[in-house]
Amino acid sequence: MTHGTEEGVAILSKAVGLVLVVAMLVGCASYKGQPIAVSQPGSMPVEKTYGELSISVDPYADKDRQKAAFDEHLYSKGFIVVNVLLKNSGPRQILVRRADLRLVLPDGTEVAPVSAEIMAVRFSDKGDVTGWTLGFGIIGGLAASAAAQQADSARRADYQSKEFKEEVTLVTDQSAHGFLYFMVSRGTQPFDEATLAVRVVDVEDGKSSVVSVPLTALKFPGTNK
Amino acid sequence: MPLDLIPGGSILKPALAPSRVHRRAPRCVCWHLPNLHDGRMTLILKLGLCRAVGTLAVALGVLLLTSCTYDVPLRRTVETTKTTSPIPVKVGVFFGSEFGNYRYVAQGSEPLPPRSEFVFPLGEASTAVFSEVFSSMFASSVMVPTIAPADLKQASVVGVIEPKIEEFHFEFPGGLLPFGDYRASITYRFTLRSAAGEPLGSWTVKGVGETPLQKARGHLDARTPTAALATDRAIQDAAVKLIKGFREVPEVRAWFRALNLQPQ
Repeated sequence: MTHGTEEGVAILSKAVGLVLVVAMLVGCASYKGQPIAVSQPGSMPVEKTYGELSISVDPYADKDRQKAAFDEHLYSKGFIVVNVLLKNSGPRQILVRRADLRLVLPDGTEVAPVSAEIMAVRFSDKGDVTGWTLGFGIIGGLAASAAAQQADSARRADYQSKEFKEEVTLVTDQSAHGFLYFMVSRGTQPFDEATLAVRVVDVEDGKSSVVSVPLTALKFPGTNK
Repeated sequence: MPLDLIPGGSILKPALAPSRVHRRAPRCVCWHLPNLHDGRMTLILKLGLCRAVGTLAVALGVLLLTSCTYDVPLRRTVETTKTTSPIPVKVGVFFGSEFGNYRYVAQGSEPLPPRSEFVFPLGEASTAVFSEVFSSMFASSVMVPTIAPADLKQASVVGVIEPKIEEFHFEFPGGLLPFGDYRASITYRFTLRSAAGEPLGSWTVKGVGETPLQKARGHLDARTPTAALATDRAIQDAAVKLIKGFREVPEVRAWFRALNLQPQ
């Protein structure tokens, strides 16, 4: 083997090693949200019955629970998430639309849920692509970018899988559950209590009713202006 | 390269007295390069490199300070309005000013270039699309200026439908890798009112659209038609869902019963 070839092999080995190290280091930046067990009526902290409809709500106010389920401290960006379980025990079909489940703040402001995509983007992991590019060149940048994209995709998929369905019709003894993602506006004052306004529609006569479910111990710290 | 690697001041001065300038304050990163050659050759090389870095810095500065606005050209026609048969009534359609003027502006943050704006004229496009949609869905439809009972009576309509844009979401593909999609989703809220303007029901319809990144390769301007295509698809998807699902909405069925219409 010539001297030049040996040098070339050595450089190539170093480059491959560098890529592997970079890939391993960057690969650490991944999404770590955990799945949530399906709750049963009676197992959630807030319960309310309206006729034959039971509404159970579990606000995720605790930082550790937020981190475990969504890999983020949701309050830091103004998100309030609540897990909701609705069960219809009556003979009439009930339609529930996600957009009709609203959070009413102490000042009367009504907040409609945002989609999982929006929440995922707000917590999108851009990764330190610039830093990795400066440190490890284009290979570092590409690896960081790929890891960030992968983490974002995993986050989006997880948030979507946990989200309450856009629309669901509950027949007798059927239930539906999932998370509602509320994003409060900037300048919102801290609050501890709010109300979940649940509007449901009787499929047969088209009449709707609103059920108010009081939520406590939210410990929401407010948002910056 | 970060601009702060080149502290302020002329980059030409060091060529005249590099050592003196270097003692006072480093003027250019190039002066820290090792001496590859001796004497004048080194000086010429460093001077050339400094000029190149300086030009690049100025070019980057201009790029960063330049604000670019890209109008996303959205379709104003509906792809398909196929419906079973028009509903045999005359309805009013109320497009509020908030709806008609709705514009979404995606501002420069990663992955967009700094200070760039992509403007989506969603209100104009949606007004045009849903005018066509309602025309096809009903035997007759007319735009009403307000939802005041007097205006509705004058228009001789049996009810009014008011669309609103509840949520719009757009994502540019991020990162350095040539993968990903342009993603758009739009959620409309439709409110049905009686001939007297009383609300009878309200529901949402969400449309989604995607376009692969490959379609947008090349110059930044190529992003606007690609972004438009994803958004058009979302609007069309919502239009189709409204047409297909309208007669199944419980509040609409109740309205039909009140008008003695058959929900075919």
